[in-house]
Amino acid sequence: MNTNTMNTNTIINNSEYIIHEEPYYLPTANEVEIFNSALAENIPVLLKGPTGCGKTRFMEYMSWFHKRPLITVSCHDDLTTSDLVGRYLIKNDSTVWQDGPLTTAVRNGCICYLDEIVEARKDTTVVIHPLCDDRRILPLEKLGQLLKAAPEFCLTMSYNPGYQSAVKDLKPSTRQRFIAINFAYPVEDVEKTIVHQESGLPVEQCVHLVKLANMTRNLVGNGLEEGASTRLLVHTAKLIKRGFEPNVACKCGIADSLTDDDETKILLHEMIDTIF
Amino acid sequence: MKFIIDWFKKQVKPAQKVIRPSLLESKQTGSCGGMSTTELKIRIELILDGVKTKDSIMGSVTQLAGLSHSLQTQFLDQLSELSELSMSHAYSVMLVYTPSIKIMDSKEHSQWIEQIILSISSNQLDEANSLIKNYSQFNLQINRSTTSFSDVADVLEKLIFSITRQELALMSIDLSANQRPYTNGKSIFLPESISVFDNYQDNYLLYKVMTFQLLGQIQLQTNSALKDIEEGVTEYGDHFLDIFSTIETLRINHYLKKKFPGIWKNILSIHEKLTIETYPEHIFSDHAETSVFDSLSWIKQFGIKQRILDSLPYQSDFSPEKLSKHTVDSGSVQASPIMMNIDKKSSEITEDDDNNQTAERIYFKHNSNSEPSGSTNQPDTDIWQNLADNIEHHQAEQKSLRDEQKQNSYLYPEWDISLKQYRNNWCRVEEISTEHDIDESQITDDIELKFFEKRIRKSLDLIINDQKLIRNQADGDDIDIDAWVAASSNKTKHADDFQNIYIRNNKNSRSVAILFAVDISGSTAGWKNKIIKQSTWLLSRTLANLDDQYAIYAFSGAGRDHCHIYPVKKFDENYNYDIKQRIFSLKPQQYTRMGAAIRHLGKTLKQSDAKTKILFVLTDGKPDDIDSYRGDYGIEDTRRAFNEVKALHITPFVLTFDKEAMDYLPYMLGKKHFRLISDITMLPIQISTIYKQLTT
Repeated sequence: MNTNTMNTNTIINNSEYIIHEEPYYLPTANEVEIFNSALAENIPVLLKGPTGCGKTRFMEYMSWFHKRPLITVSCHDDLTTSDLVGRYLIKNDSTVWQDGPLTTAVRNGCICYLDEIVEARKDTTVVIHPLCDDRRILPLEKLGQLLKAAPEFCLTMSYNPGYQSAVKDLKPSTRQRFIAINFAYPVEDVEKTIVHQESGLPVEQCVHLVKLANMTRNLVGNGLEEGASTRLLVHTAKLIKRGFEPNVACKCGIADSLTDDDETKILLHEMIDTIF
Repeated sequence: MKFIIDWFKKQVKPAQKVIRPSLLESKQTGSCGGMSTTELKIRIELILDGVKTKDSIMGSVTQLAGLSHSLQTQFLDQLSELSELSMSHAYSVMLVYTPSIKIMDSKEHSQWIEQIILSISSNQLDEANSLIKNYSQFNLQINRSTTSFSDVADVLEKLIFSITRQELALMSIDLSANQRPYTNGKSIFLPESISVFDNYQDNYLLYKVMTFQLLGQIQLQTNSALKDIEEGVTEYGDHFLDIFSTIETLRINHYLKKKFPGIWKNILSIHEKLTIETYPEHIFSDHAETSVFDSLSWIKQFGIKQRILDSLPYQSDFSPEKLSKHTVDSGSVQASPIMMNIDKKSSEITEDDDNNQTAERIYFKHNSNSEPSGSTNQPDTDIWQNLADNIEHHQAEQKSLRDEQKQNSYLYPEWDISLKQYRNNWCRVEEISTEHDIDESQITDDIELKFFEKRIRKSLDLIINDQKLIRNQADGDDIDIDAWVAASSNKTKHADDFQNIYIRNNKNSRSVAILFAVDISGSTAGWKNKIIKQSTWLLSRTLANLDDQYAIYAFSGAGRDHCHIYPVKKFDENYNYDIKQRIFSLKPQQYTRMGAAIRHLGKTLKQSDAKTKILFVLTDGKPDDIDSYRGDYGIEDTRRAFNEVKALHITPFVLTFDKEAMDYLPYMLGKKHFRLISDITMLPIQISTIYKQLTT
């Protein structure tokens, strides 16, 4: 019985992970320059910011810009080290090794993007430590190997520091291996341009949507956990573009998405009626 | 504009901050913290001044004693107001007050009292008698189209906050003197009620437009031309003010049209419904930014003598006395260095100027060296002196604070709902060691406790067992080689044998710190105190088996200077016999000033390095203390305190025996952060169950 077959033919089909068309991304500060420098110096990058502010889009843009495959892992609390690194699977009467997404990225020189890293268990995130310092190695304990990262490999991860949860935080030993890029919601002019570009809605209406979003953001901590994100605005703008009345679109696209609390919903509806 | 006059005439209630219905309703059935029959009787007798015999009011007093403290206070205020008009009517109202409040909601009840006061004031005593006698019919007669300030204030206040991020307080105003809405820059003053339209929604929209007009007045800095408006009024009288008010209202409308199209729609709708003539909106360019000086300029162009516009229904008060109430900060003063002189006799007006309409009567002068309007050297000196005094006072206060804190005494702020601001260093919290003055026999374990302990252990064991490797799983982190070998070696080799060959690694990722805050106010005396102590002891015994950090503190006190915290078990202590002694030596103390206790214990819990921090409050009633810490005040302060600990990433949870907790806890904490237990004897089991739910 063969119990240790090595599945080394797991070089990825690049076309699956390469982004061919330029994603729309409007830089809000110097994030592109910082990322480029980090990439040149092989320093991992931590993207911090509220939900829907453009972290994932930024990664897609940088992947396209550098023509490097992007492997995205959406982290969750059931994510284990094996899910990232790889595991033995059973095939017929033998076991075969299957690389996980992180190992695949390390072998193939991809950008590995761990989205919402704080959702993963703490013992899982520790596995990335040797990859994030000057060693740039990934220990594959079950194979008894130390996998040296390809020169093009880059590790990035993102999280939302705004979650009011004590259990969702990064260990200091993890966070101190990264350079951090802070993302916030864009300023009004930039956000209006983004919403217009993404949805095709006339700029005048985008201005009102952005104003509404800022009003909801001012309510954070006063009934709302988070304000309306740029992504929500784009969704709403698309509804308006398709012919829905702005009030209806905002109620579906923003108010009802943000809260289930009746009192807060009434207030959001008032805001919408104030703007539209 | 008859409707405006009618509308003004309807407003006669004196200026006061309205109690929000959401809070008021929540207390209609509350009894905790209310005045006793003796106290009520004395107060009523003082107000009614012996109008009837003592015996005749006892029935009503007994009924009133069942009301919450806030309702009792409201009753006494209203009774006092009525007694100044008519003692006999006040007495009659007292007799039916409790039944009336049970069949009317807070809004209807306020209207009923208001109507009685109106009738007495206008000498229609029969009508007042009829209103009192037929109180049960009143809610069927009232005009439901009227929109009152209390209905809309909360939403409008939050709406304004969402735009400005500043807490602009909304207040109701006395319109008996035909006052229009106005603002002082920090508060917005609106009518007590509006019944211009025959439906509620339109009246509400009028409220909304008024609010945004005043917001526009603040944002567009109308008050920056105060001096010029004063000069205009001095020279031309109220006629100037009428024209300026309308033109400035139009300018603000123009701003609202651009910034808040929804409000602009509301304005157009109001105009249409009231058939208001079309106003010359085009006087302000669509694109240019305007200032109050543009309004003044337009008046000059148009000519001061003519009158073309009637006032608008949502128009606010632009009189110099109201504008001068604006809080002037240095920024706004510096932002308007242009001084305007509308004196036609100014020597600087030339013949050529006469040919230019704009410059004909208006002269702008940039005076960089001039003092800000209304300022002199003397007040400047005072400002610096005040600042120096303030710094000195602050330093002395800080030193005093440091000295205080060295002696296990801490000062905390308290939220004053009426002022809408914190009272700094208001409560003194002291940590007091628990004395072990108990008899050993009191803490002997009995059979019932052993039964509870067994159940709690069983429940919490599941948490401990939850931390092991689980084999033979259908899915997992790794292959369970043993299971696979077993399945492979099975001669029959059923497919089912290979289904459960994974191993799941449930590593211990618990990092929990929980602080139990136990209310030992006087109301817990007797069997409640015994059960609280037993539950606390059982839990501390069983929690010792887990790795979770836990601490137990008791709290009580009397007054803001004596908020007492009794440490029973600190985080850095292990469970031992000494702690058991401390638990059983807890005795009921005095009152429940919950806000200060929560702030102090939140600060203690914050120092823990655990990932999950829980503040578990065990109490038997709502916040209550001497010095008026009760009713709205206590609830609002406690709510603030809970929000503050939430901001420290601490999860608050309240377990209460108070049957009326549903009236206030959802508001204080949110729906998911409390539990009401009806059978206190099940407290030990309930605590452990909730503990498990909170931490897994």
